[in-house]
Amino acid sequence: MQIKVVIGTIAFMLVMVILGVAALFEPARLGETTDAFVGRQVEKGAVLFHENCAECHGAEGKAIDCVDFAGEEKSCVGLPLNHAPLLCGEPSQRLQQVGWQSSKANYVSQTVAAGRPGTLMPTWSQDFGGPMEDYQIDQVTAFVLNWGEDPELCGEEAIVEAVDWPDSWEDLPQGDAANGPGLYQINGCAGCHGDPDNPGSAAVGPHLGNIGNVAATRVPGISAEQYIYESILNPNAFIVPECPSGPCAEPSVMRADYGFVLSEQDMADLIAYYLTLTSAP
Amino acid sequence: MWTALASLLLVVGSLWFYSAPLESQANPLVTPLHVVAPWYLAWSQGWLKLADKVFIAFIFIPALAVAFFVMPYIEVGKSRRYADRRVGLSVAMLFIAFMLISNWMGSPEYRVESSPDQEVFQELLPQEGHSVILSVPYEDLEIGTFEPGQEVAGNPALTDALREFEAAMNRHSCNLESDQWRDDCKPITGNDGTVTQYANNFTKDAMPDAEAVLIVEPEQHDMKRITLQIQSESPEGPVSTNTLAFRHLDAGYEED
Ligand code: HEC
Ligand code: HEC
Repeated sequence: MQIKVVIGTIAFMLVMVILGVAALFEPARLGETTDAFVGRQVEKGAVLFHENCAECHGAEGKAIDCVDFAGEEKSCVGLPLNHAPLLCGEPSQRLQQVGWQSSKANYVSQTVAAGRPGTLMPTWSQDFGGPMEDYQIDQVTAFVLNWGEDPELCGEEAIVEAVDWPDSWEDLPQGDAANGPGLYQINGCAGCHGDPDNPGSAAVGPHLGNIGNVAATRVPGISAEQYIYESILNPNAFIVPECPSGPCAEPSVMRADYGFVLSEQDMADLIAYYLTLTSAP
Repeated sequence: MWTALASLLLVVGSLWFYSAPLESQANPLVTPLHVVAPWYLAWSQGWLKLADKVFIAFIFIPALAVAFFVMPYIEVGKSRRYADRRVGLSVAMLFIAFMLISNWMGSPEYRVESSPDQEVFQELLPQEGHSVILSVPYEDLEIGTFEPGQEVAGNPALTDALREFEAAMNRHSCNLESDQWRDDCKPITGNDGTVTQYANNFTKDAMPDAEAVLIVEPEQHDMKRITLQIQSESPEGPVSTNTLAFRHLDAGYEED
């Protein structure tokens, strides 16, 4: 009788200890499983992409080198998907262009699911009469978005290169300072740099009220115009020493994708505008 | 005591001896290559090989079910002794033996084979479960073109996988010209006397003079594309098939 109680007690305590240890490792295990699930989504999406989409969007998603099912070359009718303006930044340039309010993943998955009526882009989801289950739409979406994980496509340096910006601000069109305040608002500059007339309003980035004077002094040998131009295109080109909450962080927290969002005219207008800001310190 | 021991057994078993790998979502439009019935239905898979599928599924199995229902009305004897119910018990014994054999016939070992190249693909890159090639760690899956059995210097994981590749190829191929390390092709002729396919010691449908390669290429950030390519002779001339798979860094196949 006694021995049974002892064995039972030991077994019970062992169960408790094992469960406790297992609970410690559970979050890590769940994390790995989640990663594995996402990784496999991308893999399955790759299969679906090569079977269904490469024909129009190209095997590398660049809308070049399309072949049909017989292996014959054909022209690519789809848009490039492995494409920085579509995939880099949230929202990406493409989403802003079409005024998409939701996420990039939704943009891709909904385009794939419903197709584009009036274009050659077919409908894929069974909900809209296409051949794919919803989970397959998710898989192929994960695959398309995974191109955006590539630092060569969306890394900070790549972004500046992707759009063919001239080296010098002088090659930009003539700027109009009057458009500046509008662009400053639309592009979210104010969210970080605050109101140019109110020095205390800058939250994240340096206050730009006196940038017209400061810009010329930041980097020796670089004109004020060129400095502003480079600061917007590639925030990491030069890190400002002082931000509102202490020294500016490196790499810069300023969005690195304005090279996609702004047109050359926008850029010229912003530079012209900033040169007029010489009031507040 | 027994309750505590049983809990211990269940907890340990489920933590370390049972794994539920990630599998694909079920899709009625996609039929896996080898459909395997759950073990408790293996007998019915075995029966499908005995006679016409329609007959088995729609007549034989329902008839059997009916037989079980009427059994108590035929077998009415009160005694359980063998001497008193020879026929009934003998039939039961025969039936048990028949079921054992059916289950065995239904086991995956006796499945209907598909074409040999597809069998090789399936063995190396199955749609579900452990894959010899995918479980090679991501970094060891070097970019390049590899042959079955190739020794990759400083890369035991890939070398092992290529050895399995060679074994799979040997199981499913044969040599037209005699060769030590692979079975010779034994021609199988059709009714009109022409050669329809070749057999080897393992399988009735082997690929003559098959050559294969494994190609690993970059596909996307953190993902590689794996192509298995098989070329072989056939009575109709050379044929080439390939299959495509992908391996993402995070997919965690080492765990499966
Ligand atoms: C028959 C050719 C064709 C096929 C096949 C095709 N597409 Fe498209 N796709 C197009 C065209 C054409 C467009 C551009 C539609 C437009 O003008 O707005 C497009 C647009 C898209 C877009 C939106 C791109 C953007 O920048 O707005 C996405 C995302 C997309 N396709 C994904 C896919 C995926 C994923 C598949 C495979 C499941 C696929 N497509 C298959 C022709 C095709
Ligand atoms: C997410 C916050 C954020 C946004 C949005 C933002 N910036 Fe910045 N900006 C910064 C930070 C932080 C710095 C300082 C670090 C550095 O040099 O990159 C900075 C620096 C600058 C500088 C250099 C300032 C100096 O004193 O030398 C300029 C010019 C500039 N930003 C312009 C813009 C423009 C134009 C926009 C809108 C198109 C914009 N920024 C949007 C955070 C932001």
